[in-house]
Amino acid sequence: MRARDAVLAILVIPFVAVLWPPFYAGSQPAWEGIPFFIWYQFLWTIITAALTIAVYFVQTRGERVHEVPAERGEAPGGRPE
Amino acid sequence: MHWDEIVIFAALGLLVTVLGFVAANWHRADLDLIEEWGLAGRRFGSIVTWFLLGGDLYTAYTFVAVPALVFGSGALGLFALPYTIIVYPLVYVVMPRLWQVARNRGYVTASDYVKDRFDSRFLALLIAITGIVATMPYIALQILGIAVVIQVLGVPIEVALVVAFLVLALFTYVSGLRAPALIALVKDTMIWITVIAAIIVIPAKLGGFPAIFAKVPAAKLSLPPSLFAGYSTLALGSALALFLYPHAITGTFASKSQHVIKRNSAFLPAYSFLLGLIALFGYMAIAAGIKPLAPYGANSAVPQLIQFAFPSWFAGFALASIAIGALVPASVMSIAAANLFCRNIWTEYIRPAASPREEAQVSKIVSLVVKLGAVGFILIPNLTQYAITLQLAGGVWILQTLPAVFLALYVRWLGRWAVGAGWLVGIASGTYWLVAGNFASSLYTYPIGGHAGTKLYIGLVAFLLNICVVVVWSAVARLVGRTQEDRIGEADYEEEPSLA
Repeated sequence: MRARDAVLAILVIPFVAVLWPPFYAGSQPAWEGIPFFIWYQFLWTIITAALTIAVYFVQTRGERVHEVPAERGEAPGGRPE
Repeated sequence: MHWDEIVIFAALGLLVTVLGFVAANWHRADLDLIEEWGLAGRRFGSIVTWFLLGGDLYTAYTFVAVPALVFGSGALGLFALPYTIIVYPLVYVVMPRLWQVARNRGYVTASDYVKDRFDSRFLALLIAITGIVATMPYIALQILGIAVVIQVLGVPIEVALVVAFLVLALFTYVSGLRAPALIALVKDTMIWITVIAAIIVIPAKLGGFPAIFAKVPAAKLSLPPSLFAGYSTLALGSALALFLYPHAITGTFASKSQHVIKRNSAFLPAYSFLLGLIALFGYMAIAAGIKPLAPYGANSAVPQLIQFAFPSWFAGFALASIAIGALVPASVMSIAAANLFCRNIWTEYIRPAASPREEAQVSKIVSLVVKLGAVGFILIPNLTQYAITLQLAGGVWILQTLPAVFLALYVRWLGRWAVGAGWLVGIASGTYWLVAGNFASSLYTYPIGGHAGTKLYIGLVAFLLNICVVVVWSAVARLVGRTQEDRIGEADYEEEPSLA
């Protein structure tokens, strides 16, 4: 249980990345004419989604193994879907 | 008058009206029960929840006001990005636990939880009133979103708003939460089509992104250091507050499992990306030389940009996507406010003996009254500004319910008096700073960090005071041996305690 919750610490990363404007308030390096300040924040919507998906997979992989015997009465270690 | 625009707009309006009524037969169940009418039986899966929450949280007003802020004030308006980035990690951690305890113990509102958790119907009443007060002006602003769009179509605003109100009120009354959920599928698809088309067509028309940003004054493209703290406190405070709003809690409670909520925390950021693109429309409007239109000022920037960029049939489609977009949150908000009134005021204080049928009936009628008030606010010209001001204040106030709802999920030794006192301190100090700033801004200059002071989000500072009071008071109560433990067993916070 505890080990599976430790992975939640990953979700702190986006807070650090976007709540400290000195990191990204400049206009350079621009990308296709888009100031750094703008594309950096767009990039973090994607990274945050990816991190959340990763956390979800790590958490549920452990969970399914636990759930299988309780629900279907099969042997533990059932095929993860 | 733009007739082809109006025809497309009206046809789409008719389509969603029909959908709203048809929704009553979707997952057919007894709509005279509040769990069915107000939470659609808690049976929405990942995809429906994605559309419902996406349509519910990213409101029509957001789609109009965020680019309007970028158009008028520049980079500060982009705080919507960090705000909607960090909200989902929070949701991932907190909301499954709240959903589970609500599911296991049959809560319909956050205040139902507060009442049980703290054994205090008075604290539950405070939280319910805060929720209702924060929601009402928000509904009014959805109606304002419709008004802004209708204005550029050139049809009489009053007539159109009354029609929109009747449609919204009737389908919500008949179908409950099923209606906005079903309409959200259509509305969100339309919004995605509109934004993707706009992000291709408009830059092409204006000579590409480099040309657009070259036309925007440099001061509007970057955040000055004096606004750094304001920017991040606004983002953090707004993120902490978003899922305390009754409409967000209602949308979350309607999902069928913890997994639905967790998956949505990973996929809802797609809407944050979308909102970011919409925020850029503010810059495009500057580059296109659009002039704000009375009486809605900068809020008319996006509707005007749409008319500038698209052939009129597609402009009709795009404007309809915003107007229909207003119906979804307005409907969910009115349902959420009605549930709060019904569960935590009516059956708690006025008619404790109310039958489940009467409960649902009260909710339905209150949802009508709430919307009537919202339309009144927008139709009376001088009141529109109050709606905007009150919505600003509503964000500050709703954040003060965090200890009672979110913190209480984790800290078992929080006491009701401590949480009540924290709420009072948060509301009072937040309101004081709002008044001191003449309700003009959600930022206030605090006398810290050099003699120029530092601009910070009022809601977050008030919340810090609130949480200090809650923690210190609870800790002292614990030391003197007067702890009030959580009455709800840990098993009820975890999955399926009935199986254990």
